[in-house]
Amino acid sequence: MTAKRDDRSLREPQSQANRTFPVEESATWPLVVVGGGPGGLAAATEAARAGLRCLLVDEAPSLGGQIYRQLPREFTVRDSRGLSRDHRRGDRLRAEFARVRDGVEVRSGTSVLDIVDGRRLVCSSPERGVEWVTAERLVLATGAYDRPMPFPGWTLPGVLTAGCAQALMKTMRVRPGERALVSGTGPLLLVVAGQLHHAGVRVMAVLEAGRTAFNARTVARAWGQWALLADGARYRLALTRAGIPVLYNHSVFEAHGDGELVGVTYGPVDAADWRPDRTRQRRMEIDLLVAGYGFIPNVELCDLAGCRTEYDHRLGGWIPARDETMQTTVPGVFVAGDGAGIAGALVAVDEGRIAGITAAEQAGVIDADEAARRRAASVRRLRSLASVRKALDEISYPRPGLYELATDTTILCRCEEVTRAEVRIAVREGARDLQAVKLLTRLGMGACQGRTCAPSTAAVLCAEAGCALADAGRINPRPPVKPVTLGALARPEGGTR
Amino acid sequence: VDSHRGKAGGADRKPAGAVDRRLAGAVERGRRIQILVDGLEATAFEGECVAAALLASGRRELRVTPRRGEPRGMYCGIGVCFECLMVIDDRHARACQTPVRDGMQICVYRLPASDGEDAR
Repeated sequence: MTAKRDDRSLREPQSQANRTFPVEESATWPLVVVGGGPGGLAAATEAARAGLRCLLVDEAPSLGGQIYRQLPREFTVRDSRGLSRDHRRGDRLRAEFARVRDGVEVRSGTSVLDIVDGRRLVCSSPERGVEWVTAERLVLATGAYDRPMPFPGWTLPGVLTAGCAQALMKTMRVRPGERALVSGTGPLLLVVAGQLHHAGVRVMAVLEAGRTAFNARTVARAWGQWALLADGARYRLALTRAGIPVLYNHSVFEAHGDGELVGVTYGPVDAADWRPDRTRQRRMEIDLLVAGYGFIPNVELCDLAGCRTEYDHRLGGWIPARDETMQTTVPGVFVAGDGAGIAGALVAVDEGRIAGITAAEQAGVIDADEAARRRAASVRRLRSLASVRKALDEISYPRPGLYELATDTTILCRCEEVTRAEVRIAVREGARDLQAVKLLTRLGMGACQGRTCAPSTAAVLCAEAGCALADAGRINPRPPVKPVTLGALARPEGGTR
Repeated sequence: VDSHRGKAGGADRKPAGAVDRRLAGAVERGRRIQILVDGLEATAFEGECVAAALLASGRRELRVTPRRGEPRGMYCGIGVCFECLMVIDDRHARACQTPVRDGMQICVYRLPASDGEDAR
């Protein structure tokens, strides 16, 4: 059987006519929320509170997303003071969700492989196999992942993203190394460095490519955001107390090691474009490099749902166009949280609330006045956060000089082992966007589907061809966007529920 | 020149169990279990993912790339990058997304290069 196709302008040309998951009739839900992080949890909570029946689909074994991730079920907390503040904030959101839990069906450990006609989801999980779910309305809260930043040696074991180091410490309770440098950009670096120190890692320094966020301008913009200011000051102070230096306008240049990381070269970058100044580079022996160069919104499900996306370098790259109720260009499809532009968990929660309430309003379970009343607090909070967000985005978005860290022999595509030289040759042969580079080099055709290589390759392509990042376009997501076994696809009982 | 490029596997790989990087204190782990890593017994605890269990005992190389034979380890840690792809109980799986199980067999994923260096 093939998927019924009804292309009434819902889908952009990215639609592939040959997509054929085995399809059978599917259950219909008034609302499906994809993603169990802060945005998705808040959306499901508000929808259920308004009386809208809803299905929450999440890949992880338990709810919370990356930031509010819970400990494995098999672990027991002996002393909750030893856990991070995120654990406690996550617990509060989960407690709120628990009060309306009866109105929500939760499917953890479930991936969405495809969205057809903007409404029908192909879901896959070890327990239920592959099954179709029809969503009358959809909230996508798919979050973000660390921006991969290529430099010589960045593929060595021992070079981790900030998110990876955090997951190891917060969830797995494992010390990721012994002697570390933290390099990148954005306020998260201070948080990770503090967590590493707390876990017993010797943190040699934090290298922030940008300038300090603690200046008069940022603080003035954040005036009134006491919780945010207190958080920032607390993280910075903790590092001072621990004797961990923070070097602004610095970055790692190269990682060294034969088989695994043993050291790095690092040095200053210029203040405007963050170009490495190799005349002042130094070496340091470390066994752990934590690289946190910001985040990339996960937008592939938006693409598959047919939502229009636009490029905004300050918010992480490609993001869905939305109105003030978080609705995309496809009516009834909402996006909340970092998956719609990097803004952090606090913003994700309020965006999720607004999306959930509006979905309930569209479904007719609450009227327009009631919906506006319920949205009001979230709208107010988002408005008051807007100016400090803008200031932080401005400080932290990666400048083009960082992409000069990669040399011709540096791998850009980790899966297919495509180097920068191969990409430059492709550009000289006429490639002017990522799709063309992909066809010429196989870049982006591996298991990660280009999530890791596309952003940096776009930067290399644009430097070579002299175009804008938005012109490099995208590597089209190809379903299944997450791996699934042929057995699960073929199993007939997986189709219906 | 390319000082960062190394060869994977071989004699210089640390034996599993040489160090223990598990954090003590606030949290008690699940039941102690045994896993088989490249045929050697190693200790793990229920609730850990394969990558964390290996890292906890000092093992960071998780796969070898098919083209250049380079070692790779955990990178994104959240299931996005596929750098931690291993052969786990005879199936390819991401070590960062797969929970350990008593008696689990884990080995390095090597894609056979079909014709020489540039086997793409």
